[in-house]
Amino acid sequence: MKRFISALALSMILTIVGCGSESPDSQFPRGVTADSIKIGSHTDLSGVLAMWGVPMTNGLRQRFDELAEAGGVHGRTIDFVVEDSQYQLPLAVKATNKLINLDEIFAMIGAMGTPHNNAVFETMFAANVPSLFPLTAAVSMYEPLHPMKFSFFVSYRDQIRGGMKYLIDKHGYEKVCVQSLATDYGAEVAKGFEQSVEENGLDVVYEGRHKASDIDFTGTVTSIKNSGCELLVLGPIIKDTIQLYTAARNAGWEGTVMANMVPYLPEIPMAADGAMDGLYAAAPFFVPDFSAAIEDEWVSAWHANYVRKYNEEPAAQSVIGYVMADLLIQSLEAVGPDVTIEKVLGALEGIDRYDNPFGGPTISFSPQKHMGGDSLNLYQARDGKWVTVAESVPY
Amino acid sequence: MQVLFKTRYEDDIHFLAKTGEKIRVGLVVLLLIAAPLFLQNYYLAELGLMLVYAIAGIGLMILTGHTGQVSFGHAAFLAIGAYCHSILISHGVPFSVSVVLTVTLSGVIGMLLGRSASKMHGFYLAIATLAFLILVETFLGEWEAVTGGHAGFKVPALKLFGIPLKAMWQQYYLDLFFVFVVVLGAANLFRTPTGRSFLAVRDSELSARSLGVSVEWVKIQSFGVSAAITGLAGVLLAHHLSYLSPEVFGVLESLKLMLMIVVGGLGSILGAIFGAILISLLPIAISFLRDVLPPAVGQQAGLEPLLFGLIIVVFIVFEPQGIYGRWMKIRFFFETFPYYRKSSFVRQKSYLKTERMR
Repeated sequence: MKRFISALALSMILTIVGCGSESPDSQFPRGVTADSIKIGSHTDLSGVLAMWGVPMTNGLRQRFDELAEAGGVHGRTIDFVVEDSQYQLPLAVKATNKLINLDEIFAMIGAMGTPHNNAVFETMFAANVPSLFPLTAAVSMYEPLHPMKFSFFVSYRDQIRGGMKYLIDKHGYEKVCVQSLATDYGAEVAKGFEQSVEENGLDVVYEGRHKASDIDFTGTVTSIKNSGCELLVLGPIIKDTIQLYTAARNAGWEGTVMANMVPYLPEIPMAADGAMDGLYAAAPFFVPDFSAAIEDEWVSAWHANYVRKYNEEPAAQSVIGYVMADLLIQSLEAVGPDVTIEKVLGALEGIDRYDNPFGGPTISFSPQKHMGGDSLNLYQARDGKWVTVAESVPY
Repeated sequence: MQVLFKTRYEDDIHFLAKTGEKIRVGLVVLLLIAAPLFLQNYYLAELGLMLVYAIAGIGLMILTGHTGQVSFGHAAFLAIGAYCHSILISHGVPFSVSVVLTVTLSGVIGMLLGRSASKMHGFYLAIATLAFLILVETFLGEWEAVTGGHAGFKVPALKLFGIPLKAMWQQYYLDLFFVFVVVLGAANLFRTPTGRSFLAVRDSELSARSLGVSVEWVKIQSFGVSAAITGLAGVLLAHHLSYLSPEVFGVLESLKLMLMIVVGGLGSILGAIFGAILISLLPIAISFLRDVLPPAVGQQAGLEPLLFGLIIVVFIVFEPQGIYGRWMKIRFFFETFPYYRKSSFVRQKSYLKTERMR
């Protein structure tokens, strides 16, 4: 007991004395040297969503490496540090802690996961580290407006709203239903659905939720079929999208099914031998079909470079990662050699109608708009491929 | 070899009887207290998190290591602690009051679980606790009005008696303080009749019952104490994570706690601490492994749970007493050199396998 008391006393003394260490002021802001800028990211490189995190990191790195070959931006190259979060919240918090305190990064780019980003925002902003283009389209990535929060994507919520509005205007649906995953992601899809229902005066005939571990959707599909639903909005991820969609078609239900950007991947229309045909997806970006002959010269060269570099076909996330890195580099270019965080974010806010080299909706930022996409594209799965049904769909 | 010569009655109840132990523990305590002087914020946060896991480990150790009741649902108590505390302080309840309320709630829920699980054994108990974990996880996800559902819950900033604790070293000292409280409390517990009856139930329920110990009540108590301590760890964990989501407290987290105590060494407080050190270092080791292994293996998703399982199996087969047991043997080897014999650690007491009382 005595030792305990003395230990406590000592800890009290130390607490009073205090011991914070301040890094010495240099002529450059944190993470910036005369010839490099340190950019960090935490993403899933080995967990359940590694199939998103790895190509995303590859895309980002490809652009940064190109920059290095071209001699850098105003003489500075990007030093890109990636930490593996395995899509686990505690590891994402640890990774951020490391990136900020040990690596002393200038900015965070392409960090994965909604709760994973929400968890670390406060720490990051306290350390003056901005959050650039997280790999999640959650509303909280740019709302409420914060000088340090920038999102690349139109939110999941608004993707659903935009897509629903388009289909409703075109086909005059009145009875709608929703089936979503019982996670933060599913909750946002459901939110977009609810808002759309309110805005368009629709009749909700069925609302369902399932867990990621569910594999049998017979009951769900029967309820949807019996409800007389005309437009089903889907908020599952990948495996369950395929399962739900094929189950619905097998049960003979003919209604329209729409999802957002999450299933907008080349694998989805190819799944289940064409049984996915008819599925709509509303997404704020466009991914070229790399399996076919690529018409655009620049995209073709990019594809060849990517395959040479990583020895695998690029995924949708590689394209997104590349564009995100390009947006950052463009703002750095605009700032000039005298880099500060305020200036870079200011330059980012000045980006207007950025023409995505891969095609798809343009990207703009402003002091009031911290979310990139200007509009949506609506795609439909047809004969094993995504086909663009409508462009510049407002949300 | 040091021979203990007791001259006072107090010598009998000292936690650390030998000089060597006193020096070692004293050094560790000093190092822990002085850590903020020489550690960067990053390492300090890692160390703080390790301390939190040590508390959770001690919680589970009391139940599994000392009372012999398996629980695969202890992440649920981390969740209850973290959520209850965060919700309370977000409604303006002061930290100190919230901690007391949270620990009490967690303990009561633990006792309720203990009440329903007190007559189960082995597999049945493991499945029951696992079911409890899934229930709690689902409950937290669905009760959106209070817990924020799957969208998550923002943990309010840490404030103690109205003073905001912003710096990492302040939070670290808070963790350290609770580690001292829990370690001393747990060590003390096993000198009381209650704690002794825990051990008796673990070793032989039949013998314990013959000696007049109410086995069911002991199990309920053990579940309660264990849940309360794990709930406390949840409180501290919430401030480390700063954002809660039900998925954090899943089966993997429970498995991690189990790994900690099994590998650390069942039945000793030091074992829980060894376990906490191990799981803090394991991710670093795994990320190193991933680089070394061929990509086909190294980049596989799910490598971590596989390794967790593998480590548990290896320890159960080759060193059932865990790191703590190995450490004791090594120490004993040097202390008694050259008289070390393997049979020194063969258990003398043996109990009848059949424990059927119904």
